Amino acid sequence: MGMSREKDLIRAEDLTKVYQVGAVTTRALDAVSLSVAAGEFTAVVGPSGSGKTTLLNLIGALDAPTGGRLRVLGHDMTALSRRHRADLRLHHIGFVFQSYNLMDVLTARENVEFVLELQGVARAERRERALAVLGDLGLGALADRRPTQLSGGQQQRVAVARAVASRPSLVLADEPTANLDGENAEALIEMMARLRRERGTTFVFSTHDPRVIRHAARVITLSDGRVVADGPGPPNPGGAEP
Amino acid sequence: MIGGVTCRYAFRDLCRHRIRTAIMVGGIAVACAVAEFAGSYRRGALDMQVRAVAGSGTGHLVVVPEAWPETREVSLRVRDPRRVEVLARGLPGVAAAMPRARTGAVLAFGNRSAVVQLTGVSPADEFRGNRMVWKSRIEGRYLQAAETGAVVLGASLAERLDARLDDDLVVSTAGVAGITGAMVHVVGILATGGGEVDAQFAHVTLEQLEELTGLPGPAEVSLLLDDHRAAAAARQRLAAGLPAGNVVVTWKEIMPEMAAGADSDAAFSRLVIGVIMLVVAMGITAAQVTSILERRRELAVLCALGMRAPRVVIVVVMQGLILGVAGGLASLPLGLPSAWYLATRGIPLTAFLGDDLSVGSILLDPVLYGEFSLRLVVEGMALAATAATLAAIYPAWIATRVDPAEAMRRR
Repeated sequence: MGMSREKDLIRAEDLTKVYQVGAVTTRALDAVSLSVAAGEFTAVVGPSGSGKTTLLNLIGALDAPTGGRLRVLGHDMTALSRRHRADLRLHHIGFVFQSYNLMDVLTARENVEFVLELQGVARAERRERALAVLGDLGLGALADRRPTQLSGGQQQRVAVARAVASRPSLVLADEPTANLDGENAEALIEMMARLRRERGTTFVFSTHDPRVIRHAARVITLSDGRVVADGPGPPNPGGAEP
Repeated sequence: MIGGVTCRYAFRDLCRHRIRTAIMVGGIAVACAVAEFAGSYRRGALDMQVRAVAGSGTGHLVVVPEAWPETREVSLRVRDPRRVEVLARGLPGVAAAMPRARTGAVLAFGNRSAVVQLTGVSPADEFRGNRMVWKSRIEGRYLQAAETGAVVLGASLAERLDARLDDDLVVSTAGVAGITGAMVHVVGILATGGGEVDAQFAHVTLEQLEELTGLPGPAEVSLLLDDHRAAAAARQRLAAGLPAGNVVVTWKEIMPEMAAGADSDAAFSRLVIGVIMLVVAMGITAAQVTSILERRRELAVLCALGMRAPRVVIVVVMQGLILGVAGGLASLPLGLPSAWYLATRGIPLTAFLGDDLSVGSILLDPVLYGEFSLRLVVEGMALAATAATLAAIYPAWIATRVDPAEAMRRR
């Protein structure tokens, strides 16, 4: 696992997350320790309720850990304020959600531009960058369409474009292929692998999809909130060698 | 800085639920239209009240002896009245300057008598600035310059004395030499249309009053302005040039009960407008909270992408502002025609007050006209925008409470 490597982008030690709803306590993550190096293409797998999404939430600064230690991009996630977590997400982390989560009142280009606008990128530059990344993902001709005018695969590609347009160090993808057919799922994962190769972006994604797992350079398996396996993914010539 | 995409998002989000947005805009529009109409009425009513008070003899500004405001003593006289009159008439926006003096007197005719406040006037100036003189129906004639031995009575007073035109009355008053009496000839009987006003109306010339009281000169110089809103500036200019021993007071200081009435009318009108706008604002708040709750996930995604709370607040408040401006604009086709109608046709007060339009010593206009000006539009828009923007603050706060982790949850 390489827990103490200098170039670790993510480093968790005894990471714990407990949810308390009324009298019911749920231990979603239980003393998880792992690290992910910069540029890795990592799949987090496991059955429903195993803690995959909770782990991504904590790594993505969407939630705060209950116990243990977590450092992401050099930041101690147990000590960050709400505001600093928002800044970290904005400038360093990209998200790809299972159900795309595009703003349906904005066009594909505007969806991508929105994040750049939040970053304070000047109008002309953000437009140029949005169009460039959409073009790179084969969506140049669809830039002015709204999400409802796009297929599921196209929407998810727009979501990826939104995630990478701000040039984050880390992209977290939660079941990115869950709503896609086989062909689109393959295309999407290949595209993400290409972005990793070309840009050196670190990808961590949760998935059940064996087609996705096949492309992963490393697979972390969770069960009942614990890491039960952590090792290299299956051999894959088109995949994501470090 | 808020960029174009954020603004487009805020605007287009409102278009998602067109009916809801239209209802909110409609609510604001109706409330603003009511406010515009009420504003037109309020200012028209205030103008009319001020015009009635000032035009009924009080004037907008009055130059009085320095001790008068405290003592209200009618025997005090204006210092250097000629200079005061010249100064007053030379000011811009002064329609008339009316020198006057008053004294308590008993008028007697045959076996009848009445206690009155006898007013000594300059007839030409009075004719220029006192609506009770130039507007009223008069049997006989009004006074002539420097005329002595003549009196003009109000119709009700003449009736009470059973006096008619050309009758001679005995007038008794207290002067510097004690009680004095004189005969005065009724040269005119004046019917203002207000019974209460007519019952107190007894005018003689200033010269006649001087003869009766032995006190020379006017006790006040009343100024009627073209526009009552210029009173503060005129007062300042007048005060700067007044001979020592005189001060300027406003109609509000002379008739505080009328001023308080006008102020309370205005306050009540504002309160009604405020309540209407509050109800509308609460409606907007409820609708926006619903909208926020409906798109919690979308807001969670925006937060997950790095949108911070201040920007979330700006988006929601901006939507409130858009609703307010749209409501304000939509109110114009409703509010302005009604305000225009009020300004051009007016409300006939005779329908409510009958033919007697007097209130105390004030003679009201027969028709109350509203105000119609650009101010109505500006105020209507400002009211709508402010109410809708304030109404958005609570929904904005709710929006900032959204948990960004919701973005990851399964639909």
